[in-house]
Order: sequence, then C-alpha cells, then structure tokens
Amino acid sequence: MDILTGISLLGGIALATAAGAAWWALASGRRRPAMVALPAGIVGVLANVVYVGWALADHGPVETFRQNEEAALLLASLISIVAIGTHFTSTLRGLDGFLFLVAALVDFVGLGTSTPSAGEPRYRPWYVSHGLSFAISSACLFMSGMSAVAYLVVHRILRRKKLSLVGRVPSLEALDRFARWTLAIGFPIFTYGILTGLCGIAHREDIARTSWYWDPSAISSLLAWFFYAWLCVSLVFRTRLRGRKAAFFTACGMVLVAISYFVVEFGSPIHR
Amino acid sequence: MRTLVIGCNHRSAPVEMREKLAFDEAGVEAALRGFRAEFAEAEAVLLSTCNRVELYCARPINGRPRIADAIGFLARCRGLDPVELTGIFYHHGEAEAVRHLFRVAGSLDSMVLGESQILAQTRTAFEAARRAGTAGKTLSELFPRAFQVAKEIRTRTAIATGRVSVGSVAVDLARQVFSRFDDKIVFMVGAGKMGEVTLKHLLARKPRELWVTNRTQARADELADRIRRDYRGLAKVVPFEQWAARMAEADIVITSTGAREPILTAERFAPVPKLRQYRPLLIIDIAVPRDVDPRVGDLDGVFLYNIDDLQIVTEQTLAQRREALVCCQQIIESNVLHYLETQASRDLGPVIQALQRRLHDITDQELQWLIPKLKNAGEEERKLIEQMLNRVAGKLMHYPVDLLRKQLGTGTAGVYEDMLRAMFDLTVEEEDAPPTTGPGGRE
Repeated sequence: MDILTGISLLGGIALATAAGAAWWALASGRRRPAMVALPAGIVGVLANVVYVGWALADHGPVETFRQNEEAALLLASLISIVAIGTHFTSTLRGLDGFLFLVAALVDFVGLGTSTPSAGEPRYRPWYVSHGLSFAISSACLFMSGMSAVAYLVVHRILRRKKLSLVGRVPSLEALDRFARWTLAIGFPIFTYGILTGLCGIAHREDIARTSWYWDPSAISSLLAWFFYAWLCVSLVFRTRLRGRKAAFFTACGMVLVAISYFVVEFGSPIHR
Repeated sequence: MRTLVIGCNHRSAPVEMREKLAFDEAGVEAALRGFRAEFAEAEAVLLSTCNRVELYCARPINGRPRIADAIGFLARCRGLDPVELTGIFYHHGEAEAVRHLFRVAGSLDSMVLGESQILAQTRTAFEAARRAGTAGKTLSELFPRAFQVAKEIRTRTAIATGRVSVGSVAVDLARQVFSRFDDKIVFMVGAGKMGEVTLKHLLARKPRELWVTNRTQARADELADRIRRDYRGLAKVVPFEQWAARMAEADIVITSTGAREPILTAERFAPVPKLRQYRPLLIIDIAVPRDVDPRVGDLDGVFLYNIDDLQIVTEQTLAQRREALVCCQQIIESNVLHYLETQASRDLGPVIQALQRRLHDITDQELQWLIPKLKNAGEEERKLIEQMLNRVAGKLMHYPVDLLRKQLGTGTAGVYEDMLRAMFDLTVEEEDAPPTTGPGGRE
C-alpha cells in the first residue's frame, strides 16, 4: 500500500468514524459522541485535501479532475465540510450523521474506482470545469437528497410519536429549507456540467462522430437533469408537492445522481 | 465552626406557611443584617424560594445560634410565634447539613426533580449573604463547593435532561416542526388554564401573531388582554364562528375547550391542508375530552398531539431523572466525605498543636527538675536526656494522633477529639483555627 492510498484510506475511515459518532450522538442524545464526530470529520477532510493537493501537484488539474478517485474525494470533502458546518448551526444540528454517512460512502466508492491514466489527456484546460462542476453539483444534490432522507426520518418520528427523539434531530422546516437551497445551488451547476460535457464532445471530433448520445453516462445524466428540472419547477409552482412528497422525490433524485456517478465510473466509453 | 441548617420546604410545610415565611430580595438582606447584629460570631445564608425557606448557619463550637435560636430568629423576622414553626421545620447539623445543601443545590430536593432554577437561587442567596457580610470562611467554602457539586451532577448525570412540563414539551414539538417562529401564527382555541400555560411557553419563542378564540367572547378578550399586557405580543380575538375557517392561516393550534364532542372533525378539517398549500400544521389538543378528531392527524402535513402524548414525554423524563438519582447520590456522598475530611483535617491542626505544647511543657518541667540533680553530667549527657524525653513524648503522641486521623470520615473523630482534649486538658488558643468535630460530628 503506497502512501497516497494510505491517506485516502485514512480519510475514508475518519469520515466513517465521524458518521458513526454522529449517529450514536443522535440515538443516545449524548454530547460526547458528537465531540468525536467533529475532529474525525476534520481529519477526513484534511486527508482528502492532502490527497487531492498531492494529485494536483503530481499530474495537474486536467488529469486530477477527470472522473476518478480524486473527483470522488473532492465530492466527499465538500459534503463533509458542510457536515462540519452543521455542528455550528443550531437549526441543522443532527444532520451531520446523514451527511458524514454519504461522504464516507462516496469516499470508499472513490477508493474502489481508482482508474489508471488513460494516456496523454487531449482535453483543454477549461475542461477541468466539467469535472469540477460535477463534483460540486453532486455534492449539493447529495446533500439535498440526504436532507430529504433526514426529513422523512424526522417526519416518521413525529408521526409515530417517538417523542423521546425530539430535540436531537433538526426541524422539518430547517431540513426542507436546506434541501431546497442545496437543490437550487446544485441544479444550475449540474446544468453547467452537462453543457461543458456537450462542448467536450463537440471538441473531440473522434467522439462527436460516434453515437455518443447512446452512451450510458449521457443517458443517465440527462435523465437526472430532466428529473431535477421537473422537481425544481414543481417545488416552485405545484403547491401539492410539499413536505413528505417533496422530500421523497428529492431523495429519489439523489439515487439518480448516484446511478449517474457509477455509470460514469464503470460503464461509459466516452469517459474512458 | 459547627454547621447547621434549619428550614422548611414543600414537603414539610403547606403553601400557606411558606407564603408567610418567604423573604423577598430586600427582606433577605435585612434579615441577614439582623442575624449579624444578634449573632456576631456566626455566619449565615438565607435561602428563600417559592418551595423552601432555609437558614444555613456556621457557629463557634460553643456559640450561638443553636437550633432553637435559629428558629426563633426566623420566626421573629416574619412576625410569627416560634411554636408555629417547630412542627414544620427540619434541622440538620454538620455532615447532614452539608449533604442537605448539596442535595438542594443539585436539585435533588426540589419539587420538580432536576429543575435548574434552584442552583441560581442558591447562588443569589449566597451573594446576598456576602453583601450582608454574613458569609464567613466556613460558608464561603461550603457554598462554592455546593455549586461545584451541582454542576457535576448536571453534567455527569441525566438529572437535568428532557422536559418535565406539558408546556415545554409542546414547545419542543413546535421546534421540531418549525425552525423559526417570527413568521408563524399561533392559534389558541378555548381559554382553559392548561392551554394558557402551554401558550405562555410558546410565546417565549416570539411568534408573529397570536389568535385567541373562545365560545364566550369575554374570556377570549380577557386572555388576549393578559397576553398583550404580559408579553407585549400581538394578540387578536377571532369570533368563535370563524375559527375553523381561519385555521388554514395558522401554523400552531392549541385547543383546550370544554366541549363534550370533538369540535374539529376530519370532515370539517379536510379542505384545510389544500388551503394551507400543504404547509406543516402542528395541533396540540390538550382538552379532555379531546377537541380534535384523531383522524385529522392522518392528513398530510398535520402533526396532531393530545395531552396523553405530551404527558408520556414528561413521565419518561421524570423516570429517566429518577434513574439518575443513584448516581447523583454517589456524587453527593463522595463530595460530602471529601469536604468534611478537608475541613476536619484542617481543624485537627490546633488540637495536635495543643497536644504537642502540652507534652513539650511536661518534658520541659521534668528536665528542669532533673538537670540540677545531675551534677556530674556533661553537656552531651544532658542533650541525650533531653533527646530521650522528646522521643518518648513524640512516641506517646504518635498513637493518639494517628488514631484521630484514622477516625476522619468515620463520623467519630469528634468523639476522639473531645476525649483527647479531656484527657490531656487541652485548650486551643484563639488564634488557632476554630475547633470543630470531624465528619458526622454532633450538633
């Protein structure tokens, strides 16, 4: 095991520890586990930042932000930073367990998707923004989705009158607002990522001449985009899509993003 | 110094007596000044809350106030006959007094187990005593220790966790649904006492508006007036015929009417979620019989809780707190022991010094008698004789002192100390620390 793998493994373990501690704090109502989650989360983020920084110095931004391990670690770091931030906001306290969990999952998935270099990259420097925008938008959409999952959990707690848990989890209103804001930020960036992807295809004549539109990554990304476009419009204009239903669809959106991520990693010829 | 506490609480005295005995802030300071004038050598802290009136004293070993003096003093302060108080007043001395204070400050002796106010009230009482000059060395050590114990109890055990009143549980529920209240409307249906108490808890969160409705309009007006006066909040009265229609605008609804049948049925409520654009609505039904049909709680975006749901939480909290009692007692006992050991070992100093002086005097006298008789003895022999006498005195002293130290914490140190004084006719000089008993010493 080389030092870089060790660092990324440390990041994953730290984030998993943070997730476990945050969930323990949520379930037990004790403060001590929450005090473990914060430093563990910080260690996880630092490990990932060191890894990505190393990669940037080693083989430049173009290669770093292609769909590979570094992009996954960047995504996990962004989610973890927000999870750490929830420790300092009274309204979102308790959401960190959900966010650290997804960050740890992304981190470990990233570890398993380490791809060898595909040779000399033929991308232009501006193409870095394609990978970056996907990392940032995925982070936002994952956070939105996890917030929606948390909403469904809290809703269930309140409906089932498990009132001993009241006060340990964020309020429904705060979760709803957080999900909407992250969706509102993530969707335009996701759109930008798709547009830069299309530009990239146009730029690469060898791909542009093929049936690139049948590529699984293109299909899954466009599906996710249409779904989120519908969700955004519905949340603004359709009054019925509120509360539990809105949370359910936002969580479904997160699943689509996760599928897109796996498709890009494992089943997309144009990304190889 | 001897420590003593006399007083009454919610268990020993009815509210009528506690009312008569209660002191306000100015009254406490005046009483303490009176105490100082009457018992110049003693120390005192007067704790007066709605549930207890207690006088904590520290007095010289043979000084005043004794129990009867302290009760008499409090009775005079409130213009009562001391005989009236003897039946309802309890008194504890030394270790029991320390233990009692730790229990009080830690809220183990409160009406609502684990409530937080008593600690602040004890601090205020101590501050008042310091201002009045009646908190001397003994009480200035005892009270801060009590605050530390209370803090330890609150942080290390579950004694202060959870909610114990229906009103505070309702606020917790509201906070679980909503993150902000400055844009929310609270709607109070009915003007029952219980509903008002719950409402007051919610008003502390500063909602945008409060609407009140009641079958008897005058009572709704009265409640709205009280809220405007006490909370400076915006309180509107809604005619009772319109309340169901206005419900679509409200975010938190508290119902506490005296109706025999549910006033809000599922059929009547059915159009409300759509009118509210499916925003969450919290309904707290604290009426018995219930005001809201339970089926309303099944509708989308509605969170309905009745009085039983809220009381379950308060009971769970109290059960949880009762479970924590054992742990609290352990903390208190270890701190009582530690406090008394520290005090007692400090107080043993003068006795040991007096014993040393006594034995030194005896050896000196014997040397004075012996030296003139030893005409042929040189300087060295004289020194050896003097050394031998000192060694004998030291060894004689070792056993009683060792025994005395071993008694610290067993509750009998005072007996041994007194016995030692009697056997060796010890008198402790005034500049030495004042003599007291050890742990468990006698009042």
